[in-house]
Amino acid sequence: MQLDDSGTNSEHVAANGSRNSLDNRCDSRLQTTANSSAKQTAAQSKVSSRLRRSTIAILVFGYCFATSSPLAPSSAGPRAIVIAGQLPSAFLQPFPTSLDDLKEIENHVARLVADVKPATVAVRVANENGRGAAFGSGVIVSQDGYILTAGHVSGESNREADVILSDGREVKAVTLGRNIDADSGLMKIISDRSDWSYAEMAPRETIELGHWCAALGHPGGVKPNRDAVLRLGRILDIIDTGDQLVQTDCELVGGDSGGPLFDMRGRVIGINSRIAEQADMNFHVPVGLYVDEWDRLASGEEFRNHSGAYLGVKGKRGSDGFGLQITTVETETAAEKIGIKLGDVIVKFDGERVDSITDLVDLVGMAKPGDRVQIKLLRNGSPVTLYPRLGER
Amino acid sequence: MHVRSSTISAATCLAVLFAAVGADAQTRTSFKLREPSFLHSFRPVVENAHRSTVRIERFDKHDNDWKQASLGIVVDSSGLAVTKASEAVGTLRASLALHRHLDAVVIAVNSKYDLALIQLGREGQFAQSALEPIRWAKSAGEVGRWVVTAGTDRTPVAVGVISVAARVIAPSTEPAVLGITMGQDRTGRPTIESANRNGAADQAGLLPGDVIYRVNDFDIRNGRALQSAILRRHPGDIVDIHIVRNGEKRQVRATLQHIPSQSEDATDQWEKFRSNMTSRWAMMNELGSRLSVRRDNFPQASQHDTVLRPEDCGGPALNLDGEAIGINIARSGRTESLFIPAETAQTLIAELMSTSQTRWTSYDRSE
Repeated sequence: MQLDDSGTNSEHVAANGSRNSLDNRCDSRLQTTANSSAKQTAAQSKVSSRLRRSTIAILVFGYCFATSSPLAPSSAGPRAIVIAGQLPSAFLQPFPTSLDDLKEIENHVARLVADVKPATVAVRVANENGRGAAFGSGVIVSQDGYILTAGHVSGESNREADVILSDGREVKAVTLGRNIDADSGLMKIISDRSDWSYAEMAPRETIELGHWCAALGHPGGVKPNRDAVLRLGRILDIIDTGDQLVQTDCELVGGDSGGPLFDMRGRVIGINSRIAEQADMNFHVPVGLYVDEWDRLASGEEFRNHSGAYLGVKGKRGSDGFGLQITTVETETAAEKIGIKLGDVIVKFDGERVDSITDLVDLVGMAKPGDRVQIKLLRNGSPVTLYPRLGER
Repeated sequence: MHVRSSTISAATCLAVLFAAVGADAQTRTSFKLREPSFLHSFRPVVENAHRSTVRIERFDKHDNDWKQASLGIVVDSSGLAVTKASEAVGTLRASLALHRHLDAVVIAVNSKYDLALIQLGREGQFAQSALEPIRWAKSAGEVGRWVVTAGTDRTPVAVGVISVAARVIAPSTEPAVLGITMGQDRTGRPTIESANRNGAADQAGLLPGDVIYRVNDFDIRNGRALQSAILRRHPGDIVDIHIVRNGEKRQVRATLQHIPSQSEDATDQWEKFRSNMTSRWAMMNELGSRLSVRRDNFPQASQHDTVLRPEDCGGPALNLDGEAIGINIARSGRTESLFIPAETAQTLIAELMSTSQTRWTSYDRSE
């Protein structure tokens, strides 16, 4: 399928989920989202420009796409095949040493990729402005058609998306929830069927450095005469501080987002998310995050990671219908130290409105332990501004 | 529940981690498939094939040095090899494992597949110690199988796996450029006022002052005719440029290029092109590896995930048995390199050999 650059100018999906177009400059900077309900926080402006320069490119891109006509429905594809038992010894040693090892590896990979392709899909999500679409990839992980993808591919929950199956057929799916920080996203095929080809998700503890892995996806967008594209690599790093990501040398590029990273048993161990400049800097969301947060994702919730920062208050909605009236100030917390008192009504946290305890918890979670934040409250009707330093849970 | 704008903090965190990861990686065993220690295990694969591999170099007059332009494959023991035609421009020489700095002359070109047939060395040079032609595989192999790129050394250049079976690779929509500033002579014909360093004209050996009067089969009478002759082509296309230099007619082969990413003399049209979706994709696709100039528009090519430099294309892609499953024809993107499958390659090579005549027999090439 030709890239149609003369068609409607369509928008990128930015790395963190918004529909902003990608910066035109060559050093692919991250964009802050401009989600319609969101605003910049004071914390954002504290980020130094030096750190901002570190590049994590965006993986999904959009262009005009003439809908291809779906093929006649065929019978259901093969079910997930997990390769049980002992893996070939070539995978179990640190490095292959003989030609026999290498032959073992390729025999295994050739068979494995045929097994897992039927569960691998391409995803097309219309842009909010109605012009053009964003393209990514995904993987079916259940018989009833749940699809793992990247949060920045599925985007907002409860919207219709198109899923292109491995045999070229198109089906409709609904976008469900996402963890915006982790970049996990869930979708579900809209159908009564319960026999979709799917892949198993690996238990989180099975991911280790050096493990061989295979990435599939649709770089450059799905093309009618091209199956999902295979990349073979190994796990180079497991990042577990703050963000949770797996790094491999399976090269990824725009269109691969949301596609599966498989282990050598054919189980999903990660979902393609982002890249940095070097060819071996390719990052995947660990599948454990999807498993841990499944209920929230399946219920359509869009959420973020909580930083573990702590203020130390409890409250209820203000009697005037706005703000959070403080009912508890815990001892030896940031709240007590800065002098928040019972009856204070917190109305703003770093410039954002607070109308419920959930609002406050979310906002605190977006700052980090040790951050000095601005709290505006009403004390006996008079405005007071305080600058507590957040503690840790 | 708010859905808030993301701070850069997530990315910042990751940015800081990159630095940390980098430092750590030095001390830890690297599992990368590009590690020399991993490539070492593929040495048996190239034991024979590396002697059938050619390294083609082009003379860079700016650095006054020979630079690797491509790899190639010995296809006949008398001294014939094939390579990537779009890189076989300018002044060339070739080296093999057992022969250094041979003459290299292009004697036939297949533009569709970007293949050139090259004559190596001097007449009779290989009569005593014949060159070893490559051994071809019967089939191009399945997705998932190893692809080993041979060089002229005993250790392979790079390895990867077959990613996609053979298919049509469509041309891109980018315009082609010659890389010159045009002047005109007193008849209105376009002249080269200056040639961008390492641009298409420069690499082909064109010089300021050259008067261009023909491009392929097109007479060029003015600047507009030259522009239109170039613009209708794709980056990576090879064109025959006919010039007059100091009263003498000459002809050179040039490979048209892409618009440079940071073009100082970009017109509105180029800016508009560069700023739209397609070129944002192109920018991402160029992250982490340089790409071949001719990297698309192949009637048939298979794809593998080997990270290759453009100058490592043109040579053999091997299976574990050391047989060539194809000719590496392009580094086409961050995730892909392309090869012409063995069966197609052999047909093309036979055609090239039959339509060409070696320069040592009487060679009458009509204009």
